[in-house]
Amino acid sequence: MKDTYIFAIETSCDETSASIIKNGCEELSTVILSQIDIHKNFGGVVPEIASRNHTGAITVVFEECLKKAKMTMNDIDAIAVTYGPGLNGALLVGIEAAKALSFATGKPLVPVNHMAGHIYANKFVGEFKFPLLCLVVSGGHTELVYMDKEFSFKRIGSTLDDSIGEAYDKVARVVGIPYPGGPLMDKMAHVGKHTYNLPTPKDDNSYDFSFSGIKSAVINLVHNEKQRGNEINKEDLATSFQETVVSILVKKTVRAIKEYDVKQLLVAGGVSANSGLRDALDKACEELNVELLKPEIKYCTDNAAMIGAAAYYAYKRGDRADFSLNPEPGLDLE
Amino acid sequence: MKTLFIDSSRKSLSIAVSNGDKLLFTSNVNSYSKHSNFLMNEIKSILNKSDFTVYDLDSVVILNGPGSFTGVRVGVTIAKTICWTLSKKLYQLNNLEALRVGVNNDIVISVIPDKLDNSYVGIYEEQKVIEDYLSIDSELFNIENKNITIVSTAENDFASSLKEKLSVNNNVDINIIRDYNYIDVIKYAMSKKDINPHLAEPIYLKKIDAEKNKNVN
Repeated sequence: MKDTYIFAIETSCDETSASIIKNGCEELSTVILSQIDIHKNFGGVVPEIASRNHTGAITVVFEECLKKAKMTMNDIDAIAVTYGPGLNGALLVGIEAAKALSFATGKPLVPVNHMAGHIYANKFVGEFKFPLLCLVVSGGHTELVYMDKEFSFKRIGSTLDDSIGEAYDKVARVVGIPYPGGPLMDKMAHVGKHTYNLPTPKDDNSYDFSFSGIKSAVINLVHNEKQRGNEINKEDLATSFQETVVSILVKKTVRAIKEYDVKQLLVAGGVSANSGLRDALDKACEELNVELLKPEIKYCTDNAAMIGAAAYYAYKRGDRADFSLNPEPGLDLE
Repeated sequence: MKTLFIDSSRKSLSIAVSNGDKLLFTSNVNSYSKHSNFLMNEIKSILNKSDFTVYDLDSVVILNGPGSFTGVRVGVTIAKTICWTLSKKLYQLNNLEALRVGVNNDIVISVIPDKLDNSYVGIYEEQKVIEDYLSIDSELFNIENKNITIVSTAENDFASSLKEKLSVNNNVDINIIRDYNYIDVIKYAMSKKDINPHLAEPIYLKKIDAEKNKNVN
């Protein structure tokens, strides 16, 4: 069979990224230009600034990506781009560049869902075995997704309010941990002890999650301790928070694995880099004798490689976009 | 010289194709800031109408703002990507300067209206150029005994107020341009040096709230 080369573009948030992926699982080159140092100054991603930086960097990232792979656009079969979910203005830059690239080269344009990309980042680790369950955890999402074949996503539960990533960032801000709070809290959680009693969020029979309650509980706790003149032990609070949220994520995931009788568990999204979560899922899957696929840490955060992996399957089944493609900031996975 | 001209900084999208001194086709779409839906398709269709393809183009002229932040980004991103991919020459001209092309006086002031009291302004006096986001009360408008032409794209309160203010001590006329003289603007843009597509960027002139609130180096 002839090899398929996808040129993939990702600009949904604050990373400008391009990648060339062979046959959906082999990474030939990836370039990621992170704007994190710029947005640090503002304590979070400023959408307008993200869009401005994407516009400035986009073709440089494309050129580096081709150079790294020692390829030209002539070697490429299709151009793939993230069209949602994400920041409207940020997505727009990648989409317009992808359209122009498609127009200038005559190659087909394949629209890719960013969350499908996160799930397909696991293609670089191993083959999917259906049916499978995927725990999607990121700054915008917390959901359990059931897949019985390639590119078929059925959501069985999701967060009713904040995503897990949002909860981490907000708690980090309250505790005084600089942006991006999530990864730093994960590190601190390894040092601290579980001493603060926090309510287990939405511990029920559904597969839905809720993190606004525990977020408020942490805010109140910090506030009350301040009023009493007590110093918060940041490491201990990070440990307590992490253990509490990880335990509910794992508990519901384990129940879903059993109920849906899946062959494999995947974890995907930015928070899948969280070592507390990875360790807990490792342990749970070992006990259940279910295979666990975890993306490599470098594929956990936003990158175009995962978009290229997902795009291969989207391309094969005939997904195409024309030049009226627009960002869909609230795009759903189903 | 076959050239594609793009201006997506305004509510209506303007595209033109020229060959040397000859304007072949123009397209004006009232896409009301939804340029993303239209621009690439419009470029495709205007090239279809002319007897050459994107591969036959020699150059692209892009107006890079100021104007709608998103609109300008759509145009600049498409222009720089096409030029980078196909090694076409890219010429970048800002919208304030584009407005003053062919207008001559002691001082020419181009206005792109934004708010009642604040707008994008270009002030051109011999070799002196100021292009900024200015308040109507800016001291840069303390001008005396000059012949001044104000150029703008539509009747607007900022330009009218400015005319009134400047008329006290100067001889002022106002020139509302409904549409560019495309050939003049294209030729003017191409009289300057072309730009490396990687370096093409919108000009915004206006700070966003987050920048005002934080001191960023």
